[in-house]
Amino acid sequence: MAITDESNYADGAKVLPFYIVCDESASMDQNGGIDAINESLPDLHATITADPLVNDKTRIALVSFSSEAQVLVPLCAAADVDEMPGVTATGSTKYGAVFELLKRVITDDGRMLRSDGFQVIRPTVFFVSDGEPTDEGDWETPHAELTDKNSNPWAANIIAFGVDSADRNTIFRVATLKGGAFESSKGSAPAAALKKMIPAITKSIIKSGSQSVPQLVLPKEGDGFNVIDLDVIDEG
Amino acid sequence: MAPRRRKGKSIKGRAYPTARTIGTGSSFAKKPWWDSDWWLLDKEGHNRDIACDVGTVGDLAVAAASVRGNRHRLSGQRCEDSFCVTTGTTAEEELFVVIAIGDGLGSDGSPYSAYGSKRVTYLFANKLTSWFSAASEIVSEAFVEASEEVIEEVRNAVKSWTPDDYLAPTETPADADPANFDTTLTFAVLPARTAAAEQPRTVLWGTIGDSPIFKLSAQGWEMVSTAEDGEILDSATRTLYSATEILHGETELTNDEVLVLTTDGVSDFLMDSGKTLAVGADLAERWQRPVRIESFVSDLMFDFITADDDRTAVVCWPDRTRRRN
Repeated sequence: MAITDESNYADGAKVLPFYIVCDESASMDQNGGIDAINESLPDLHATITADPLVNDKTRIALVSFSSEAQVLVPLCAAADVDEMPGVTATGSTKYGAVFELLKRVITDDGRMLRSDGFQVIRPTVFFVSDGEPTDEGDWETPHAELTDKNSNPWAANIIAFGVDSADRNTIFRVATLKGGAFESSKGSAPAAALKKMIPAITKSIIKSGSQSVPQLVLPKEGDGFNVIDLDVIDEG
Repeated sequence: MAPRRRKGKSIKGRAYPTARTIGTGSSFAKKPWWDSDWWLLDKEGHNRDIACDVGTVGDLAVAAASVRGNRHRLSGQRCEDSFCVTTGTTAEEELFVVIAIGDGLGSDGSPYSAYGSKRVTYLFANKLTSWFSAASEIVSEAFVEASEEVIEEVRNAVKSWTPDDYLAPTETPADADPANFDTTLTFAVLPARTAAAEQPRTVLWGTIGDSPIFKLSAQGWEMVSTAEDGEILDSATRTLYSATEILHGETELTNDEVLVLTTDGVSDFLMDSGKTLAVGADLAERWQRPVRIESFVSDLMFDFITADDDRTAVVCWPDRTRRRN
């Protein structure tokens, strides 16, 4: 029984958008990363959908990138997705393409949520990659345009995960929050690490959306992956 | 002859009648409570999904209710909000009412938040009533002195219990951390008239934390509980056991206005940066005059997306016999 019309149906409600960004380059197939992600995404979807409060306070989107970037699941409440699509290995690893796409998509999504009456908490991007960027030009400029709060009102936070050939310095530079860059632990296979990273992302979304006002809670390092702390001297 | 069994009618497809929905409503409310696995009992009982008091004193009609939030229903914890409305008579035989509300702030998962808020609001309202029952009049200076003294008494009283006390922590008081049963506290005292009078009455109020006080009129909501410069204090560290001062104030309440005390489970959806929100517009229209008890509870049980915290509202209508539907 609706009391008011739905034109401003969320007037005053706060929502926290999450963008899960997965590397789909060819190497992700070779190291088992594609299978690991495809096995883990349904659990992420089911866990968020099963919590009605987190479902209402968060939005998720799935973005993939290789030579190009594309939106596989547009930003929506998890319960509005029937089934998470899988990722498919193809092409190289162009970071710039996905950062350009994210800037455009996050701005459009944010404006749409605002027009529905929501107050939008700063979006978070979970960035997962297994290799170094293969961009001909620089990727740092689109990255800065996406994340610079002074120039972009819709600037996003980025939490970055690197496995296999991803360089820890690069992953550290992609991440924008202290404690928000992760790498697979020494000796941990890429697929095994990814199978731990995706549940950590799920827990982060659940904890973030479980508070009375949604607020980002960083993932915690776990079995198979750890925080990249470049203040630590590595004698290895 | 055996009675003919009626064939069971399928209820599939029949719409589930929801609470009052503002906007599209929440995911939580889309499934019946008996079917969703989202609406859990507190294992120690006394969920307090709904608590409500209504009544009159002098020319005032007062309705007070707390509703357990969806967050605590999902986690199987009891409502951590509370209220207490008491009445008294001064030494000069002037009727008055004391209202206290609290929002338990125990650390995540602590089972003692409800104990803190309930015990604090009950003790505070009753002790303040006793204080003013012995006074000849209720004035601002005495109110500040009394509330500070009573709050100190309440802080100490709540920190001592016996194992079987209602909702009390299982650990001994010596081992307990007050952070586990800390609460906000917002309170008001106002006269209840026995004869018609047109002039406004003075409402004395105090607050620790983020449970605000409003006046509601035909023009809408006006937040009363702000600092003198209009700034809303940062409530992050303002709880009963962490606050170093109480914010006090007074406001004049005309017979055309309504006094409303709420916890943030309601106030977060009334106004934002001076703008009335959808829930605020709805309740502003409904609470201009007294409502039936079942309507009041239903009003507070509004379903709005993301509004999942415990809710409390105490609404005070002056000059009650003049307010008719």
